[in-house]
Amino acid sequence: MTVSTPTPTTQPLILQNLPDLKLPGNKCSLHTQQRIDLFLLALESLELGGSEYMLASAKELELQGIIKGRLNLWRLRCTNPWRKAHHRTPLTLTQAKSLAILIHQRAKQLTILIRNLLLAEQQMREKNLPVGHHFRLSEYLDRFRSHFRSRMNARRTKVADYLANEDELDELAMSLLNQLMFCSGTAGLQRLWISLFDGEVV
Amino acid sequence: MSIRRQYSLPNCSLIVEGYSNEPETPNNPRPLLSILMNAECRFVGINQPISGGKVFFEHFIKAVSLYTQHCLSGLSYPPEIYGDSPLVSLVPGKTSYLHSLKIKADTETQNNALEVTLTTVQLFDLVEAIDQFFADSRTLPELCLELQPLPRQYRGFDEPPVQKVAPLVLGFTGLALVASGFFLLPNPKVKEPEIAQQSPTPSPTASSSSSPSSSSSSNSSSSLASSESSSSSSGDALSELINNAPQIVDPTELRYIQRYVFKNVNDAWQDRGDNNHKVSFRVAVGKDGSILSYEPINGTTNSDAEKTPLPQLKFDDIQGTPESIAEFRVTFNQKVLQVSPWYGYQGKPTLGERISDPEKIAQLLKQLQTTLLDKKSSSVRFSRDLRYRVAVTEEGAIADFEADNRSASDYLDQTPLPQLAKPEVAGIVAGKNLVPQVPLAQFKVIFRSNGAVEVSPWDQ
Repeated sequence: MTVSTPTPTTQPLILQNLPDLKLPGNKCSLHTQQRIDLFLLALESLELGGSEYMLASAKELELQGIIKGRLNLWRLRCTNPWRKAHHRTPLTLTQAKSLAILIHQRAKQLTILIRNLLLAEQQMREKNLPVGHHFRLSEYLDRFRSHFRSRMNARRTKVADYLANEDELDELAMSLLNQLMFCSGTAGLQRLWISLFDGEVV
Repeated sequence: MSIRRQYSLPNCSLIVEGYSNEPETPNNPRPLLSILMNAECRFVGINQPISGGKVFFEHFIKAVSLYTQHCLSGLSYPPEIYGDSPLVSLVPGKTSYLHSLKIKADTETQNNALEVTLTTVQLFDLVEAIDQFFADSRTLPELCLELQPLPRQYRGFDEPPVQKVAPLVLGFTGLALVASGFFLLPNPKVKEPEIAQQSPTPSPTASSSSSPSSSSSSNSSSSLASSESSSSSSGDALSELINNAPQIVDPTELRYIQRYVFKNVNDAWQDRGDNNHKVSFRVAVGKDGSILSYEPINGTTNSDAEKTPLPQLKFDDIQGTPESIAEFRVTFNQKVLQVSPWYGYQGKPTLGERISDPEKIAQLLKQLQTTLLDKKSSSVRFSRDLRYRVAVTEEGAIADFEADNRSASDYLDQTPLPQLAKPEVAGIVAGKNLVPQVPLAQFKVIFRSNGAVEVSPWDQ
């Protein structure tokens, strides 16, 4: 169940809360773009029709000027170098901020679900059981794997590694889930935004 | 009046106690806590609380905040970022979902050394409590969330520069080693090609013999010695005469003689079933094409020779030294006859003097075409095109022709060429002279399987 807490704020204000950072070439790195897409992927995998909820959130936050629609969102996400449809135009800082806000918003809305899944993970690990054996976790992991397989370019070494080793892909999915938890807090947006540029700033 | 602020989360509670240095106002619901007395952190399920004064609290919140950033980005924050001798440290635990919170023993705070293992959910609750504290502008407002991204030099996931450069250096070193190795190898010696080695293509039916014949001409010097010892069919006097005669070296003449010898021997060689191995001879031929002598070579026996047409073709009545002779290697290779000059061709054989006037050539071409169409048989019994070289005198008489492909030699009797040819018109007389004495026009003639006859100038 999602708890919808619409926060109608003017677009510039939200974005102004996030500091502009000194990046080489003044554009987002491939690593940042990859992180953003993977977070969105994890959020999508948490529930059926996740992408629809994402677009709805973008609308609520009045970010339609930047995230113009389904196709536009897909194009923004295809800045992830692992994607089959990867293109080289980098994200602008404004676009990156909008996507970060979207991630934070969705994580906040799904915070109870994320928490429950992480508690389930904790239980499974304490009992030394494979994480995928928990029915709710297996749903999340199945959806994550399916999205990953259908969208990512298997010719990339890292992607091929993940596709070949299901366990490693599951570990990636779980680590993203853990990180999403931190994105959902009071300062989750700031923490997320800064973490996206760890190791990138001059 | 002391103020107590509590930030409660399911797994963790953060309690901050202190005083306000603002003047008291009765209606102020939330006075500013500006002086910290004690901060305490309690975890559900862990008996020992963690507490301390301002210094401790500052270390505590910094450690937790930075460690959370590490969890979010996956990059390790180096110790120097945490400051000098921090009282609190958070490090990854035994597994990816456990985190170890370590408190140093400190006399000021009267804390004993403490280590607490937190799960991710507990850690999140702690961070959330601290973030709520940061967000509370009425509690220690000078302590607020300050986040900076980790600078590039702490990236960690870059390969160290040595590892990056290593393959490049290795590649260049390998290239340098191999190049120096090749440099040390001696240059290959260039051999000047010998003219005598040259052997151009004989008539196509004998084309399969071109490789053994070219090797035979290079072996000529070595086989001379062996052939002398195996000489048996010619008398000593005859062989002496022949050995003293000058060799024909003109390639054009040699070629005409070769063709003549081939034709004669081929026509005479009726019984091809007997030989199941190669028999070879060194044959001396006169200027007029008559076979003067032959010697078996390469293990050929006299009995083998009896099976060939050579004995009957040999011209027995030789008077005096022949004017000049040409020697050929004649091989009866199972069912195929091969003839080639013994010493090879020293130059490119031509077709003799040629008519070059284009008008004359055009006129002769028409004449030839008409003649051939007239004289050819109406029924066509070949399925492939037959190609010939046809030589024509100035008057239009066919002096010479030669098959240019295999089918042509096989189906020669299907063409009118044998009846039409009059070599004597060009001075080619068997037994006297084999080379044309007059200029000839050379044409390419194709008898198509559909009955058509195509004539065009010979362009070789």
